[in-house]
Amino acid sequence: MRYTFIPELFRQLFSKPFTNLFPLKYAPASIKDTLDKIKKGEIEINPPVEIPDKEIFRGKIQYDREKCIGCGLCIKVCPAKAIELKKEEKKIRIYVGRCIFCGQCVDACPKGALSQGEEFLLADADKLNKEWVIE
Amino acid sequence: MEELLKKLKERKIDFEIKEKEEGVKRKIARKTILIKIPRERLRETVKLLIDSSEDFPHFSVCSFTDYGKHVELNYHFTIDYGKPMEEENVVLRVTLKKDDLKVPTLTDLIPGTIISEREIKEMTGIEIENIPDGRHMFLTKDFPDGVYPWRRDETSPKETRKLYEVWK
Amino acid sequence: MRYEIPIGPIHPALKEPILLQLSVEGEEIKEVDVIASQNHRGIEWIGMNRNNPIQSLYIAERVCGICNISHPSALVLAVEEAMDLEVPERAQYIRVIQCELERIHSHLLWAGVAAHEIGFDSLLHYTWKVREKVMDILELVNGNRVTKAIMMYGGVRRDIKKEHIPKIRKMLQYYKEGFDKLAKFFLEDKTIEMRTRNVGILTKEDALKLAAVGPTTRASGVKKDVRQDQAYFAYPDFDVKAITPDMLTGKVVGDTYDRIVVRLLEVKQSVEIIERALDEMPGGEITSQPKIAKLLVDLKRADGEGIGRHEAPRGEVIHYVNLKSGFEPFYSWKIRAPTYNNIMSWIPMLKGCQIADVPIVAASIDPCISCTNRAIRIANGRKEMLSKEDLHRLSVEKTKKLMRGG
Repeated sequence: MRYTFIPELFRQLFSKPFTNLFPLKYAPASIKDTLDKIKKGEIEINPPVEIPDKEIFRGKIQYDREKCIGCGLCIKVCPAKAIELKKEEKKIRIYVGRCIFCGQCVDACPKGALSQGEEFLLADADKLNKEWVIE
Repeated sequence: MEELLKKLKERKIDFEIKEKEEGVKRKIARKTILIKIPRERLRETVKLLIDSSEDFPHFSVCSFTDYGKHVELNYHFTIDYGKPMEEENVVLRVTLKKDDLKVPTLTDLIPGTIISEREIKEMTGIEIENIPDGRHMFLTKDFPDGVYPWRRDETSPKETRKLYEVWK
Repeated sequence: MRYEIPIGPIHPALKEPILLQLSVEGEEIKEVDVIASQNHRGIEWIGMNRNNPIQSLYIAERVCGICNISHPSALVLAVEEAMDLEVPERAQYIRVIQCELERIHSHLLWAGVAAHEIGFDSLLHYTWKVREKVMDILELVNGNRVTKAIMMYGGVRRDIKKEHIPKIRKMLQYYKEGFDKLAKFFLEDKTIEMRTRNVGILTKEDALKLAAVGPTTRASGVKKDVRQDQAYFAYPDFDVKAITPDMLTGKVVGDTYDRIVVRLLEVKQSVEIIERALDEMPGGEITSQPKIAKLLVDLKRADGEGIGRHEAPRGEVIHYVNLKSGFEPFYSWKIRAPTYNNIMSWIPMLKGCQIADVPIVAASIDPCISCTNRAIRIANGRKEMLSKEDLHRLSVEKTKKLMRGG
């Protein structure tokens, strides 16, 4: 019996980081100030990680209004009840704030009006802002 | 399995065997032995199950179906595990009338049944006779009495708020 | 003099809010009571009243975040039995590959947490570094890193692309080469042996009677593994053997150390299964019913019942489903998660242990772990907060004490 991990520990001192980089190297003293500075372009941050396979990535939902026939199949299969039918227009309204990104509506749509994009940095304080309610 | 079936026949307990094919290149049959018994013979059958299995019957879970006038309680067991492809499911089905919801406890025979029995008691309102520990298992302490989530009659929860519509 | 120490309701190494009521004499634990009734999500009720079966598949995926392929697997097995749905051969192989990928990542995650619980944080970071490889593959194959959303009644939703296969093989090679190193760190290190040998023992008899499942019961010497006993999907082709600790160490003790052995060996086994599955994967369709609208109608018309059993990383998952024609949600649905059975095995495990052992013993059955929580210590009528950090500190102190030879 011995401490088998010690040699590895020394090896780790000289190895490169294995995972993805954080946006900043060190935690900032004030997040708000840092965000402002990023907006002005004073600080550069490490970009988000690239998506490995864009074809199968399930990001923010995209809606092609023209193709939609208002059949309501997406509403029937949506597990999170994020989709609503606009009866008079026969179109749908999607609340991204409720979406769980399973992509079942994309599979179910008979006309191919729904698809999933590459956008995934979606944090916001307001659930009902314009970008989050797709019509 | 043979021993169990022989013993069941001796005691005149009816059973049926269902098979389902599994596998891709190598096909195997997945067997389920369904035993329908009255409440009075439940403990006797479980004892039979214990006596006739090599190790110990594995108790999985207890499920419940409400059919209106009567309810169905399924005790799911598996036997003969440890050997490749030889395990069988055993389902003990007890049918109870709505006005007489009572079953005997199995905790003294198989200690592992305690969680399921406590769950059945709180979720369906079936009384478990001689249960050593009758506290709530999963529902919170302040859950109202006389409301049973798994039932499909007047005792099922009524006032379920549609939380997903609140914030719109 | 006996003291009552509640650990929880929101606490030591658990995701679910649960309360462990410990009764101690000095440092030694004499009695244990597990009180689970802290929170109930009502998932079965939703599946039986509000959702149609396709929606329920996704709520099943969210029963547990880490084993998010296990619950859908058991559910599709149950529903396919109930409605006699065929599944194409290729889909069965893809399901096996997905399940084994999940096992690798879940066991490595657990190994890291176990190292953390005894205060061995450098090993935690090393293990999670190793785990990152399989997470990258999951992201590549499924699109997203955690929730896979791949199971569907009658098949799977996405195929494994040709161009992804070399990358998966590269990952398997990485694990094959790295396994011995990982096993050396975990099984030969003095620190881990000191803290886990003969701690939290579950005897074979107790494991059988309390109906324990998964690595918890296998570490006690019960050869029980659904993939071996009653194979499903494409598992009959692989001749999976249930892993018990005596395969490596030559003896079965049933302690926390044995549970580490079982999980590490299962990682190796999973790598071998994925490799064979990739070699032997047949071509063809990936689902027998690609039209969702048609599937919904079939599900509504179906009549019957089914039991789905799947070997999740933590143990056996069982779903019982009863379908009634004309009634859209499940007529009855019962989920049995592995921790449901394993929780009672805490009682014999914790008896006779010390308070500092609680985190590692509680974590050793691999309940869903996360969240910083706290415990309240009532000593001489005085209430003190014993936070997760304090418990962790106690645990680290014990490791240090043992290392000094005390």
